Amino acid sequence: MITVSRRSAFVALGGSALSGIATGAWFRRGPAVATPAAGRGAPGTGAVAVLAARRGTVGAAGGDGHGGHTGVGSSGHHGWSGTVVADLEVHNPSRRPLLVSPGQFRLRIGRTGPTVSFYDSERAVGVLSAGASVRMWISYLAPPEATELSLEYAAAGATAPVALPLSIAGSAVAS
Amino acid sequence: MSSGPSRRQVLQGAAGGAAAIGLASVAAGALDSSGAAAVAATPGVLDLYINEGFAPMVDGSLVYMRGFGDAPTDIGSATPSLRARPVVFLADGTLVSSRSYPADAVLPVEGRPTPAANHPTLVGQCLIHREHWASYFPDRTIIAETGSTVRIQVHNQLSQSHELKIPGVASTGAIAPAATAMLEFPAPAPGTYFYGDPGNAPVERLLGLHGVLVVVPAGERWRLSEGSVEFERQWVWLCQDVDPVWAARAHAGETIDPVRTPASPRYFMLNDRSGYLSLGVADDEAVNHATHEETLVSGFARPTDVRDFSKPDGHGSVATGQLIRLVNAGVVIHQMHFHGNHVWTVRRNGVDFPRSAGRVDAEGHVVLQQWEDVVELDPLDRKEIVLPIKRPPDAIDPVWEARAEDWHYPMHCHAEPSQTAAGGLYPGGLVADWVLAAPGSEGSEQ
Ligand SMILES: [Cu+2]
Repeated sequence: MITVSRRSAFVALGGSALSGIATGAWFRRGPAVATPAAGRGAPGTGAVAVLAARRGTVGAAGGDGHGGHTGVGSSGHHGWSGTVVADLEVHNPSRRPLLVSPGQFRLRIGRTGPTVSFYDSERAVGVLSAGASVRMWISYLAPPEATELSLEYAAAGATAPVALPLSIAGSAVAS
Repeated sequence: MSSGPSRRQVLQGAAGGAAAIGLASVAAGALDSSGAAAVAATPGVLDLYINEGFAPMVDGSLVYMRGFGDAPTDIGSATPSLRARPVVFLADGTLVSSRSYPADAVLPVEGRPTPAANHPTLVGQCLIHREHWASYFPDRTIIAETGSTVRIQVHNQLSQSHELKIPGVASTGAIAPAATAMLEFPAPAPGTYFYGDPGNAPVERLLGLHGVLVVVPAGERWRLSEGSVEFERQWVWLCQDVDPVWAARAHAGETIDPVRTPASPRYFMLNDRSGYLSLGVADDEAVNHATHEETLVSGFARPTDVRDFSKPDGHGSVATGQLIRLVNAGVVIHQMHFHGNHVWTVRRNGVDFPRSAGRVDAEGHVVLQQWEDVVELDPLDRKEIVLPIKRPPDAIDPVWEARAEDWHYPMHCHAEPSQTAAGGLYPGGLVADWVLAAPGSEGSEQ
C-alpha cells in the first residue's frame, strides 16, 4: 500500500501521474451531483477517486483481503463467478462530518446493464471527519465475460448517481 | 455469539499504519448538529424534533428520511437524529430517559431472563422469576405508566407542516414550519399505541415519522393491563417499510400522491434494523448487544398454561411466557411467522380477543384468542401476543434430553418480498429469531 498524504494523493491523481496505480475517474461536486433543484441544503457529497480496479474470480485471492470461498464456476449454478474489486478514496472537502457508505457505490454491468449491490467492503458505513479522506476497497460479483464496467456513486441528496469509469488493471485473473 | 474480533476489525488491524483515516462508527460519532440549538429541557416534558437526514439501509445505501428525533439536526448532518431514545413517564410525574423498564427491576444479560431454578420434575425445563426482570425497549418507544401525564413538546424543524398524532388519544394538530406544539394528555388505558404523522397518509409515516407508545399499569408492571396477561418480560417489535423512491421525491420537495404513485417499499425493518443487522450478526458488537437486548426474544423452556398466564407453578412463580407488542408502521400487510413455538394471540388494536364464542369479522379475521404460527399485522395494527418459550411439541424425548446448545428459531414475515432488501437481497428484510436457551447456560445477573 502506498503511503502518501491525502492532499498529495489528490494532486497526483489530478495529474494522472501517481505511479503504480491505475488512475480512474476523479471528480468533485459538479453539475451531475449538484444540490437538488429544490435548493435546500444537501449533505456534502464527498469527492471520490477510483484509485484502481481489478478483476478476479470468486475463490481466488481477488485482493479483497479474504479467501475462504470455494469458487464454483458460473456454469454450475448460473451465478456470477467473477469479482471486481475497486480501490476508492473518498475525501470530505466540507467543514462538517460526512456519512460515507460502501453501499453508495454500485457496479454497472455493461453500458446499459443493471447495477448491482456491493458484495463485500473493507469498511462499513461510518462518519468521515471534515477535511479527512478514507481509502477502502469494495468488491462486486460480475459475469466474468462482462465488459464496460463502471461504478455509480450515489451521493446523499444528489439528484442522480454519477458514473465512474473503471479501468481494469490487467486481464481477468484465473487462479 | 462469537466473542472474537470481526473480520473488518482484523483487516484494519493488519493494515496498520498504512490505513487511511478510518470511518468512525455511526453509533459512536458525536452528534453533528449545526442546526437549531436544542431548547432547554423542561422537567417532565419530552422534547421531540421533527428532523430530516439520510439513514443507511442494510445494503449500505443512504435513504432520505424524516423522524421524531431527540435533538435538533439538519439535512447536512452525518448523524441526524431521526428517532428518539426510549423514555418513561412515571406515575409520580417524572420523566426518565431509559432503555429499560421498570428501573428497579433486574436487567437481563443480552436480554435473556435466566431461571429461578430447574424444574423439579420436567427434564430440561425451568421455573421462572416472577415480577423480576426489566425489559429493554427499542428507539422510538415512549413508555407511560397509568396515572402519569404525557407531555411532549414537538419542534417542527422542517419546511412543511407536520403533526404528531396518537390515533384515538391525542394530536398536536398541524405544526407550522419552525413552530412548536405542546401535547399533553393523561396516559390512556394500558396497551400499545402507534404515534406518527398522519399527513398525506401513508406518506409521512413511511418517510419515518412514527413510533410506539406503551402504557403500563403502574401497579401491575408485568401485565398487559390490570388483571390481564402476565409475562416474564416484554418486547416491542415495530415493523417498518421504506420506499427510497418516495424518499428521493420527498427530499426533492415533491408532493407525493400515494394513490397515483403507490408505495413500493424496497427495505423492510424490524426495530430499525434489517437482515443480518437485525439477527445480531453485524460487525459492530454494540449493535448486536442492542439487538439481543431489545429485539431477539430468548429464554429458558418452561411450562406455560395459556388458560391462565398467572397460574401458580407451585413454587412461588407462574407459568407464563414473554409478551411481544407488534406494531406495523408500514404499508405491507405483514405476516409474522414463528418457528419452534406457536404464539398465543391476545389482543388487537386495544381490544382483547375473547377467550370463547369467537367470531369472524367483516374482513375475514378470526376474533378469538388462539394459537397462531402466523400473526397477520395490517398497516397501523397493534397486536399483543405471548411467545410461550416452551418445549417445542415436536421435540421427542431423546432429542429434548440430548439438547446441549441454544436452539435458534426463525421469525420471518410471510409476505415474502419483505424478506429482501433492494429488490432481491435475501434475507435482507424483516427477520428476527428467538432462542430457546440451552439448560445450564444461565449467565450471571447484572
Ligand atoms: Cu418459516
